[in-house]
Amino acid sequence: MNNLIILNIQAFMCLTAMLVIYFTYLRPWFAAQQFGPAVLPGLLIHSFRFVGLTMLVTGQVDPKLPRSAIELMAFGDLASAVTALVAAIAVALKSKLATPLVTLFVIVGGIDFAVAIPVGLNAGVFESYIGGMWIVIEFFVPLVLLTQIYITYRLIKHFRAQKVGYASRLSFQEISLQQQMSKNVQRH
Amino acid sequence: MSNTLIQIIQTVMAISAYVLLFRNYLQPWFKTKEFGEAVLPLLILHIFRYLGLCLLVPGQIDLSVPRGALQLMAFGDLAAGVCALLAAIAVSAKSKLAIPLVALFTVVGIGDLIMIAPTAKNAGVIDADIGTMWFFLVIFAPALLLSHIYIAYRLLLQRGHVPVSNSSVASH
Repeated sequence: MNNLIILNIQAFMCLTAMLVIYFTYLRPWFAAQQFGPAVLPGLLIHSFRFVGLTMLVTGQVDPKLPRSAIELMAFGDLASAVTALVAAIAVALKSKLATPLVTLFVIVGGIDFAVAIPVGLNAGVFESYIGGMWIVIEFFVPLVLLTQIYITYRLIKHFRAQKVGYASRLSFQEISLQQQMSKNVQRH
Repeated sequence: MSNTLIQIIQTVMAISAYVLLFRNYLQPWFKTKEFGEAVLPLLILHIFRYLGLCLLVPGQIDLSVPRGALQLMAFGDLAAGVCALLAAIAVSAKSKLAIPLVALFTVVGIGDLIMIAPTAKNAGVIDADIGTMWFFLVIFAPALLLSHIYIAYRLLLQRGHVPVSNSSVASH
């Protein structure tokens, strides 16, 4: 059994278990929350993506692995963690910058995922000695992937709600304007 | 990027995330609790400091790291873990020894944390291959540090006989 098969089996098992936990215990709570409280736990989980930087620590991964690939993955994770932390602070403080910062995090974190997986595969990361990072990949990455999807989903829903709210405000203004015009016509 | 710089970045990130976690989810629960109920979960967390003993397991740590330094760090953590266990049992049993044992744990635990930093630096632990202990260092140690501060704070409140009510904690 090669490492990639083990990786896929473990990742599949972990994703399945986390989905069962989500649908059984977490979904009712999350469904009842507004955008900010719903994304805050996920953002806090993503703040721990700084663990990716451990790949640059001496002795943690095989020194034969291409340094550029390792650096790309490590700094991608660090950038995601920093944007998640900043977004979490903004959400916790109910700042006006919360939505733009969550959007920035979704873009940075999403790009990191899209880049890190092919880079890792091409560099042979999963077939090399990566020490404790293997456990991180098997437990933490599936959690990060699912929360990234959920935050993205809530962000899209939030934008749609804002759009509907804006449209309804516009239509209300139009109706008020029409009523005022008809009153003016009746007077004359 | 040196190991020390990576460790500093990761520790700062972890502390920031834990503080946010505490302020948003845990503080409302903690501030309504009496001394015993408030410190018990944190004492239980500190029982897991027995994990520091892994530093002495063959193959876990670079052999070039001085054995004396590793023993000091490992047994310091074990002592703190044992003190946390005793204090947790006393708190849980609502014993009269609870407060003295929490105070003993605080002294031993903080003493260990203060001693570990220069010992690790002098022995070159951060720059050596320490395997999975790195994850304990950057994820578990910041949680231990923050919970130590909180336990010490609650202990001082208790010692000063300041009633722990919602208003008094909220003001801090």
